[in-house]
Amino acid sequence: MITDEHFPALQGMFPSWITTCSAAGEPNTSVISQIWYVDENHVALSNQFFNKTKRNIAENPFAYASIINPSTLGMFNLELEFHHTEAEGDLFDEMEMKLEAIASMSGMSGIFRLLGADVYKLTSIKTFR
Amino acid sequence: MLPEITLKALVEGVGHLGSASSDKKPSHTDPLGISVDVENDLVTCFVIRSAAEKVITDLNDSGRVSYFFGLVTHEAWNFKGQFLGEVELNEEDLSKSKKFRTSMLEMMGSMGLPEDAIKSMFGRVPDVGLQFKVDHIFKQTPGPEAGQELEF
Repeated sequence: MITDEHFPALQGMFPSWITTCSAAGEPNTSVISQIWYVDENHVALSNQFFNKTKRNIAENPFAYASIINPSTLGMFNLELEFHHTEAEGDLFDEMEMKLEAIASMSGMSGIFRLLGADVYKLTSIKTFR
Repeated sequence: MLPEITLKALVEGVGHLGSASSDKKPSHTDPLGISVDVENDLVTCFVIRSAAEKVITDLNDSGRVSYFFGLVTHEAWNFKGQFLGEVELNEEDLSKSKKFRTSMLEMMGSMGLPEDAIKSMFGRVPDVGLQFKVDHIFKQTPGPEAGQELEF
């Protein structure tokens, strides 16, 4: 369950990283701009251009992600299971706006295009350090 | 032979070592430095065993590796490969790790992050190497070429 101690790590100050696995058992690790809080048991990941992650999730719903508190550099590891994708609505709009802000700050405007908000069920969250 | 174009990010960048269990549950850990055998396509990631238990179990079980690494410029690559085994770290490895961790401490310190916090991340010394042989390379720099395989 996501609690107050996790919120600073869900603000997108530090990139997060995610590992997925294909049906054939091939892992794939990638970096994403942010993991969004949806509710205490769900988070959302931006579906931008990391197609291998998307393909893997379509074959095998499990993912492993890490987030970092920018003040303490404390890290939390999340076990996730894909739930559904949202291509419109409040969550999508919020993610799209934030991504464009991140993109323009990092000189990647127009490249960080949001295709969908992928909502995952949180299976576990553990403090790593 | 590992392509020259990947080496700067490989040696100077930050990486994440991904694995998956035999029942296809993924995991990852953060190496505290690496060594590279360019001629033989070998990469050894220096990790702390207690922090990488799940990944080590996965690698001994399924054997497949995804090593994502990149620079702050957004240049990034993904090496896919086959786990070869654990490697005992020698003085040269520990020296490479110290150099990497020192560079991270300096870089993150220059961003105004608290020293104690940075040391919790990069102050620890690795105690085992996880070696794999690279068999596929994918470009991961954001943009139209992201995901393209680099032949080598």
